[in-house]
Amino acid sequence: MIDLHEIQRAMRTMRRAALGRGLIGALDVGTSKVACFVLRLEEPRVVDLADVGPMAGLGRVRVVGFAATRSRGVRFGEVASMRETEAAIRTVVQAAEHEAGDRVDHVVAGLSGADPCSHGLSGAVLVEGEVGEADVARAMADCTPPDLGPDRHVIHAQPVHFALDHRTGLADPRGLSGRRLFCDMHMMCVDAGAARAVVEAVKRCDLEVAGLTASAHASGLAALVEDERELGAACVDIGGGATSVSIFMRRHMVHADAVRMGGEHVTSDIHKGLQVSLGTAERIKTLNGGVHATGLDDREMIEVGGGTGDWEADRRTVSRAELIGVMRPRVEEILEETRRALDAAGFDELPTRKVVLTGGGSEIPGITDLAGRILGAQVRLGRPIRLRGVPARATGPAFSSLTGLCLEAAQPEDERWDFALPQDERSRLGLGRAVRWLRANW
Amino acid sequence: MRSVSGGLLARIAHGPAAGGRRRDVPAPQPTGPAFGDAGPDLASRRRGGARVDPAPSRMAYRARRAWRRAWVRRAVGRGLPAAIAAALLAVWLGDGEEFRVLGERWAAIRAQVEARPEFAITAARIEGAGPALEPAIEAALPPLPSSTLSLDLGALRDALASMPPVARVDVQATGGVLSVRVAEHRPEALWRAGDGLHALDAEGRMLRTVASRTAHPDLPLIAGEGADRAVAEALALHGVAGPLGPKLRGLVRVGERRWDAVIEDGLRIMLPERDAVAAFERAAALEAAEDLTGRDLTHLDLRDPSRPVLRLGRAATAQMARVLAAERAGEPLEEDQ
Repeated sequence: MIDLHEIQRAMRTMRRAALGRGLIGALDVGTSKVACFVLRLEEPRVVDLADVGPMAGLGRVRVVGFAATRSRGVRFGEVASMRETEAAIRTVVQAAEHEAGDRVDHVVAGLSGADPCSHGLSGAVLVEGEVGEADVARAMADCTPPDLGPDRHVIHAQPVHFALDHRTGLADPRGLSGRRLFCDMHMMCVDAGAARAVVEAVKRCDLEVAGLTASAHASGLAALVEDERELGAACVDIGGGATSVSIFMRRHMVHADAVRMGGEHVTSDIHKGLQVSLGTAERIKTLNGGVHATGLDDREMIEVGGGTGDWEADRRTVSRAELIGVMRPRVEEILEETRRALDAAGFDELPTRKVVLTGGGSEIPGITDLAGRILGAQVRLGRPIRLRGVPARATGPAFSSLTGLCLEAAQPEDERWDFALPQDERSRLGLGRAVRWLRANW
Repeated sequence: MRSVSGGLLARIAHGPAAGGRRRDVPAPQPTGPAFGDAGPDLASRRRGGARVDPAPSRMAYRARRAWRRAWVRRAVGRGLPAAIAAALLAVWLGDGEEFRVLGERWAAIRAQVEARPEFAITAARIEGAGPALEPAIEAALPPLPSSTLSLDLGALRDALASMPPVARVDVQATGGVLSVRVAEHRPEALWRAGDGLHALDAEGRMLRTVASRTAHPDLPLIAGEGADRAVAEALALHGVAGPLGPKLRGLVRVGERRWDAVIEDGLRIMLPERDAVAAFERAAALEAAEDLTGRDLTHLDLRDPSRPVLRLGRAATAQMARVLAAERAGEPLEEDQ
């Protein structure tokens, strides 16, 4: 029986230390950019407006440092060059620390790509009388994961649903009475090598990893509003090298997947199709890109330039229609792959088939129309929730997963189901734990 | 013909073979150096060119982060200058020569200030000391002329106060004069001990040794071991001597517990251990009423207050024997003695 919460437990001490110190970093190692927030946890400010709630528990979080740089060592959301990734992390951490004016020792890192795979597990136990924490723990221990194969790493395992006899849809069965307790758990595993590479890159920068979260989960936390998380919605984060898909239901992520394509593939297509440099391709994609061509676009000419010294080549122009003609097939391909991932998860059977597009790729004009045609009717663009102190340049949809990491760091979800220690494990905890600690640290 | 390099080209261009559920799309990559941008990796490492990698080196990053630690900043900001200053000072003074020169210069400055007339002390005045004490005090004073700065008045006063005859001493240095005001212990009694004649004050402190009894004819004389510890009682006895006073030769301490009063012509009045003063008062009353000293007695024993005992002299004993014999013969003896 593998311990599903092993990693969470291992990182919890560090997260506690960071929260106690009041300073924690959130680090998003993406394909196109590496970005870092420095969070300060402070006393909640007293707001005397009647209609301002507790701000979803975010009143005490303040972003005091932000930095982002271009990422060169990551492909498909996975570390491809340790040296480059490390250099990029050093750059952002140093800049963010400079802005915060303090030293960050612990970071919560996000993991996009890495071939995520979701599993739904279920378990059932007999209980006597009132359900206690031990019963919940037993039920969770009864959720036996399938054989994951070697080199798979469980990074997320949350009970999403409890049922007690005939009563279903329970979020927390503690204190209720019944005979049979059922537990449904969502478990997500990733490629162990990819996860280890991110942790290693962070550790090489003298930082402690206080949490490792799938960016699909983080984006959903940041971009979906509360109702969407409750009633069921999919969050599609179109990143640079990977598009992560997560489905939320009843406030829990119930499915996650990733499409190994993203905005950089669009750029690459432009670069190859229009014979322009990668930098120019990225620029014209950002400034003039789109997915719907109109008659006007035939006449809108874009200077593509170029530093060859050949006048003919350097004065070349392409029309916006041509650019759209290059971009659209690739965007359609991304959305279709997303559609396939959603279909595989059974998204069609959800009562509300809401899709929220976020991530840098969602800023392509007209993508909602295209996505509506491919993914379903209810598509909206999602921006991350506003944290206090975030600079305006970090409020775009490209920073959804980074913002989600902050939420995760400020109110970690796995803490709530922390007691998931099976009974038989508790007995051999003392010595075994000491041995494990020694192995890990010496 | 398909060459090995051709297969390599295909692998690079299209990425690793898709396996399992991975659906790899060829990674975006420049296909060759045909474009202005030579690719991020090469461009970023080009030193001296327009674009330099913005990433800090690992050492610079570590140093910058270490600098954010408060104790490192404190150590470098304060500890390092202090350590350097201490090291320089140690090197400068290390050979001892500079240290000596500094010490000399300091001593010279101090001497200059001390020598100023404002601080000078040229005379000493001693008040209240007896002729015996004054030379001793003079010897204890520092050599004059001196300076108030180099004078330790507290130590001088303590030294003077520790002299046995001195009861209180007050030392002042004002207006160039060192004035010593002394209150002496007054000698109250003379004590003839085994090693000579000593003057004692009222508490029995030995003030000095006296050459002869005639130097202090007014002081009462006491003798015997432990007499100095009962000076107060001896003085009280002297106070009540009355008519015995002029004839009292002295008091002798017996067995360190009681007094014998020695009267001229060999009479000894043995006083009790308790209430010696009352007993001596009775003896004085006897002297006034019965002319005690005019009779032939060697001892008057008052040790038992209920029964005084007389010890007669040789003549008186003979007379007494005659009287008793006559009484035994039945003749009344005429009162002719």
